Amino acid sequence: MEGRNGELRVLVASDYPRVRDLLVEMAREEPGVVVVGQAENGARAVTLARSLRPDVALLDSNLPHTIGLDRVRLSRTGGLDAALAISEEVKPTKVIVLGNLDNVIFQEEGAALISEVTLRREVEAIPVPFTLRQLHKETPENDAVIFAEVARNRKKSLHRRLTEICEATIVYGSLGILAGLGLMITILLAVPGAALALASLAVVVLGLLGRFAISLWPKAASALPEYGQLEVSKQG
Amino acid sequence: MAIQLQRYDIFEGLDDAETESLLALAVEKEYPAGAVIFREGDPADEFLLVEEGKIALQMRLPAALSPASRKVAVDFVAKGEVLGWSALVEPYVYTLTAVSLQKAKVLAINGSKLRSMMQNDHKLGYKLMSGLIKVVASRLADTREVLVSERLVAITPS
Repeated sequence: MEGRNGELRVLVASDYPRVRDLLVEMAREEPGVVVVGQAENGARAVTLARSLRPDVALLDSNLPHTIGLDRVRLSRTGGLDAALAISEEVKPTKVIVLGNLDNVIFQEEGAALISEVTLRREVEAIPVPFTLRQLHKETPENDAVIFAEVARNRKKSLHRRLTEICEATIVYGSLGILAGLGLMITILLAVPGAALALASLAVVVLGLLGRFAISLWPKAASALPEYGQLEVSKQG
Repeated sequence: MAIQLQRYDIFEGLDDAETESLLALAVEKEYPAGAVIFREGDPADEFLLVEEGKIALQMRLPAALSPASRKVAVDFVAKGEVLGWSALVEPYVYTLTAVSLQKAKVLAINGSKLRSMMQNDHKLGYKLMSGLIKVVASRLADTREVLVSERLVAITPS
């Protein structure tokens, strides 16, 4: 059952923080989708599903069963177990198991990947993209677990790259405008600027000459007697 | 294709002629995500080599533990690994259910034909069983790791 105002309530689960971020961001891209909980292992996913009763549970198949077992290879089958438990106990939550998150996230580089994936599942051997809301609406209630995958959305990648190119064009173009305006102002003020520089040069030359003249002045002043010497010469 | 088989540990040590004779028994199959490849209790008529994908192996819980007869995943195999070795060991019945978590591509080798080949060529049979022992030993070690870890988790104060 959907939440208030037709919002779709979603639980996500993966023990890799980067993957959880991916799933949360992907879910939130859909209008009206609210992520009501996040789990880092299978046991926690089942506990949260029981208490939160989300409309959709989106689980990484690579989940460890419980806390403390994330480094144990064979324990990484918790996703499927959690999916089966939730689908049996928490009706009518639709459960989606994503089987290729480790391939897509860790074998392909780029933080930009987070904004470029979509959900996809095979229908009669043909990969078909879907949104969470579509899946929630169209999947029969008695369907157990839906196995799906994430796939790069080429259109989203292209959209992102074109947006980046446009933004770079705007930034560098703006800098060019400022540089051009600065150059124009410099050219316009070239003549007054030259006059000011010449006048200032004349003032500097006058100052230097005056200083030279003053440096000569103590030699002329040493020929005049000191006051005290004048009084002695009068008495003598 | 011979090189393709020799990358699997169970076939380590096989020469090209032996590998070719095994390939003659192999059929490539594909399964979508979520497909049941074989069920616990079914006759083990195929021995499978995983070329692509990831396959979970489930065991049915005893009724006393789970009235809903739920299955739990106890193992998984991925690219480069083998499953369905019950096809080589009596009573030739699958002991687990195999479910693909991703789209999977496997090489399926007919179990009864493989057993006949091993009975007729003891050298090949010895090599295959030696390889199989290593696979089973590795699975046993992984299972023990899970048991120990779960016990540690149970007794470690939270």
